[in-house]
Amino acid sequence: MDIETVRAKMLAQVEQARASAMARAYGWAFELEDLTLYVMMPHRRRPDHVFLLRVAFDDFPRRAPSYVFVDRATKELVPHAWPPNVKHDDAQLPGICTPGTRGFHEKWHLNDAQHPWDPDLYTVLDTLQRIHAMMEKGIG
Amino acid sequence: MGDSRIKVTFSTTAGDLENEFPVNQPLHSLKREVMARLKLDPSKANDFVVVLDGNQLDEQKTLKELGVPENAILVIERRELVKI
Repeated sequence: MDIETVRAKMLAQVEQARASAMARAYGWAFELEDLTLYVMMPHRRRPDHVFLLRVAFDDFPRRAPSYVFVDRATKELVPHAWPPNVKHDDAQLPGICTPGTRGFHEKWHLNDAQHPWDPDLYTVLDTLQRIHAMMEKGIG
Repeated sequence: MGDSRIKVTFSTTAGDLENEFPVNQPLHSLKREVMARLKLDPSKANDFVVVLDGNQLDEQKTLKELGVPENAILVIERRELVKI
């Protein structure tokens, strides 16, 4: 798939998420850098806990985006950037094991007939909501 | 008095619904109505909760009893976290 098609597909999903009232309710802040989306996620009841999620859309929608938490200042993938109990226990592939993420569909649940990758079903908004819920549950 | 309404937005991953809703109707009934209007299966309403500012609301209560303010965003979220 050519890069402009990937970009158009990505933007459609990102705009859907950005325009949703859910984005305001959750306090998400979006920043796009080429084919990478950064989403600032504050805990709704404990606003001192804020995390930065990096979503990479290379080869989207053929492949699911990859979602990882990164350092808020440096945007680097480092252990302290992760909320508790969210990172999947896989030393080779840091990621989040929930439908809509690349790790879920391409590795941890590959060939799982219950959850085939479908960009129209596992939208960016849907996946952000799942990850936000995991983050808040992990913090408590 | 029984017809009193406030404007709130229900938000789901399938879309948003901004409207004036009756303040004296139980939240569980409003949730089902909203799900149906957003083409979500109302028979699965028990799989979802209604959350305001990160706090799950008691769906037996009405918007008035819950003190939901005008222009609030009520998020309809999955009851169970999906981490597999």
